[in-house]
Amino acid sequence: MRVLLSTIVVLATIFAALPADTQQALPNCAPGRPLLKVPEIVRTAGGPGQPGRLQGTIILTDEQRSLAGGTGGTPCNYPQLRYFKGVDTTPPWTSTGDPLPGPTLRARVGDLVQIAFLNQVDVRKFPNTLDQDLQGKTAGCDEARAQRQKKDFQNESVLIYPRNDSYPDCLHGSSTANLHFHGTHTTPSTTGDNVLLYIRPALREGDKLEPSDDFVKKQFADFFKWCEANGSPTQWEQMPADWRKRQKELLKLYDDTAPYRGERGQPGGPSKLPKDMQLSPVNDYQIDHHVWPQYSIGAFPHCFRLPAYDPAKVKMGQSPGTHWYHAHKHGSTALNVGNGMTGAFVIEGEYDDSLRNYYKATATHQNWGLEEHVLVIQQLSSGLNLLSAANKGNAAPLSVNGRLAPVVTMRPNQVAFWRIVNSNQRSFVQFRGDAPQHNKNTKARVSWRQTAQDGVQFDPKNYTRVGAPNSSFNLAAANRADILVQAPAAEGDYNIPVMATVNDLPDTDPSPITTLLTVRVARDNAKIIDPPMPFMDEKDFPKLPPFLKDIEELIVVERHLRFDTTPYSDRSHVSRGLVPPKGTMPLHQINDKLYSDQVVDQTMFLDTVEAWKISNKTDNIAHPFHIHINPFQIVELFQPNSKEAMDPNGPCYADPTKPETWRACGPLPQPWVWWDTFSIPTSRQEVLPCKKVEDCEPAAIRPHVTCMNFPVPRKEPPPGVDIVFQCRLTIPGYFKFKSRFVDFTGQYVIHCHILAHEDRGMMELVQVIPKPRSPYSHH
Amino acid sequence: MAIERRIVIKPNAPGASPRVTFDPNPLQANPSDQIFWTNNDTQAHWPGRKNADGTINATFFMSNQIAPGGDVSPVFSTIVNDTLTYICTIAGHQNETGSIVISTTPAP
Repeated sequence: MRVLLSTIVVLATIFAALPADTQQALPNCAPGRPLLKVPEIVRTAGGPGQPGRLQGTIILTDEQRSLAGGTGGTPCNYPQLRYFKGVDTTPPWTSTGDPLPGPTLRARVGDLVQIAFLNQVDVRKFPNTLDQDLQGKTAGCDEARAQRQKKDFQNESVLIYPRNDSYPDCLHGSSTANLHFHGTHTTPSTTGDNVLLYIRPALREGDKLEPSDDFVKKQFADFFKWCEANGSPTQWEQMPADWRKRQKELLKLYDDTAPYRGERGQPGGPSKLPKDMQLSPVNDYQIDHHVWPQYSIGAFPHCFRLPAYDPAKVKMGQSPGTHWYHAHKHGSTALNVGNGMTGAFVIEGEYDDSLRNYYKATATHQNWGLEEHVLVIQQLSSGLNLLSAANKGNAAPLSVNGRLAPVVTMRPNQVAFWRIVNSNQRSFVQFRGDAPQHNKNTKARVSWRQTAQDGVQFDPKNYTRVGAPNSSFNLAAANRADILVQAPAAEGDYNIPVMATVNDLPDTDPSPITTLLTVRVARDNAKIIDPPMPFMDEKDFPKLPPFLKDIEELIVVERHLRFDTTPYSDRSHVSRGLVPPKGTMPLHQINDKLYSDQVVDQTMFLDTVEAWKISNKTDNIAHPFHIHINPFQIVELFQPNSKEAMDPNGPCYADPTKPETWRACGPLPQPWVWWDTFSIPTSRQEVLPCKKVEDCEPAAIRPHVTCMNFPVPRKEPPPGVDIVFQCRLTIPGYFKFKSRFVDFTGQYVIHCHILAHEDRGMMELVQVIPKPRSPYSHH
Repeated sequence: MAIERRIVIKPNAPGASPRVTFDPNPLQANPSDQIFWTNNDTQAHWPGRKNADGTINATFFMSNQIAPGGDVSPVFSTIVNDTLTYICTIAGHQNETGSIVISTTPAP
């Protein structure tokens, strides 16, 4: 009875502590509920003048969560979803049924980051859950079958996935995970921002997990102490001996007991898995060759520093700003991020101090203060369209911190600070400064000014130019923006209008404008803001650190990476629900190839500056290019579908008959904006009257002409006609960037941030290596 | 939007017949959902489609049996409103049956 009473008291306490709006029947997908604040893992300050430490634990686990099927919140499902759970967060983590993103990490430039990542997903609850080759049932990819659609054949089923996808560039292994700290400038190796790791779920014997929480806690505490004294490890042998021993045992246990073609082995072996599917031999080989091992079971300790800029030590510092983290295991990033395995990573610095200082409350600035909201936009789903035959390919609705169109409350004349993360697995989110926010007969509106892009503060001049009040801005998947948001004096509800798309020119996109969130401006007599809080001026804008000045150094190497979706096919037979599917699925490639973990595609020398041209031959998808570790500055942009490039009478016309005109009108104005992800402008395609390449005129365009059976992806073909033979000219869109490959050697990746494209091969392995010393000298 | 829906193969008491229960049974689903089975029994199982004429299509849902001890099947994607009756196709398991009801009514 005492136990029961205690339980009731505990439950009553927890229930009373929950926000009132969470105390309701589940599932609940209703739009218009209050914005949830995501619990945070916060740093511990160091001593005076000393860096601090961000230490915490993120557990990958699963639970039933409310999941909306449409923007109105219906249907509202309650599926099992994987998610990141924070331990020892502020406030404590509670499960409300809302699909919250993972805990917000809040560090400061210079801090040591120590994150224990525990993978405790229950693999019994998810299909297509194992990596390698799914227990021998396929050649390594997820498998999806579907009932045939045609009436007389509905007793049959067909394989709708993987079709022409092949391992490893296919959807697979969705319960294996890792963490990518997106936007960090740190080591990509060992325990840093290392996305080449595969952290397998902890093994289960009933409810018992291996490795156990207690063992992980003890081992990681020892390791974090070592790392604090010595920095990130360089060799596996620097990890605690007991941890290495136990990992070896658990990998062997996994190999011995993993199911294969309907059979499961016993502890002690022999394994049912063929030798080339076992994990232990891979790790053993890597360790023997002094390579950091790829596989871990159940947990992994990240330990790395966010370097403060110091020209004596680093050429670039970590930029203070809004960054994020997400699952990044090749083959399952789209599904994992769709499940909600994302979170914000706020790295504070002088930039934040400066903003807060400007807006602080004083005797003459009553009830000021810079209120901050971290807004994680998600496009949540429990499954992927490619594995579903009947799905029409509709994108999931946008949510913010786990809720549809939540309400943010502001006071009249208040300025707040929003950190926005687009953690969608697919869609861009364009904030529309030109769209109405209400249907009232008043000009009152919520205004904004952008202060940072992708976690890098603007140069003050760009705050004036790019961050002009109410400028529309486009956040491709993975982009972030910091904005100052100003409430009007008039009370009321103001809907923040956005458009979800995958287009680089959303103005020409017919996608509907929807409400991302509502700002409810309501007077609080105890906190009347006097005088009204203005947008800060350029002269007061945070000073730009020296390492974020424009890149003016000598360019050593220029590269050209071509993104393309080929063949010019589509999956319309699947997306229109036609089973069995015909044709092939498009391949998403870089430089005409898919990702290979055995090929390093780009090698850069440490401490060099390069210029890259990133072009796109795809005409309907502005693939968002992303590179890890080092941000870049865009210096040139060519959008062949822009009004300027389409105007035959304008100076910037891209004439289809003159390839020499397929270029930007000029360089972008300085100072340049820093990015780590940018959507590559779509190509322009022109249908030509010729029927063979060699007949197309003028001859100069022939290298850019393709003649083939083109599908008709965006309009219904005539009855019985699925493809048409055409010759098409492609004018690629492109951007050029400059970047410094400095401070850190190691291997990492570039990829498309439409994550199903990345999973299916639109990725390259790159590496930064020390500059070789010339054996020659001149005297 | 596609939803992943799970059917758990649960062992019954030792000696009971049938030896396992499918949970939930029937499973309510919508067109486009992705359905899979988890085998918590100590023996392999292999749900196959039982057609109206009594014939059995073993590979309708999956191309292989599901290993014991928590193994999981690949996904089967539904497409039209229908009731799919299934039966374990492993010899001696033919009293293990269940069904999936697919309709456009939002499933729980």
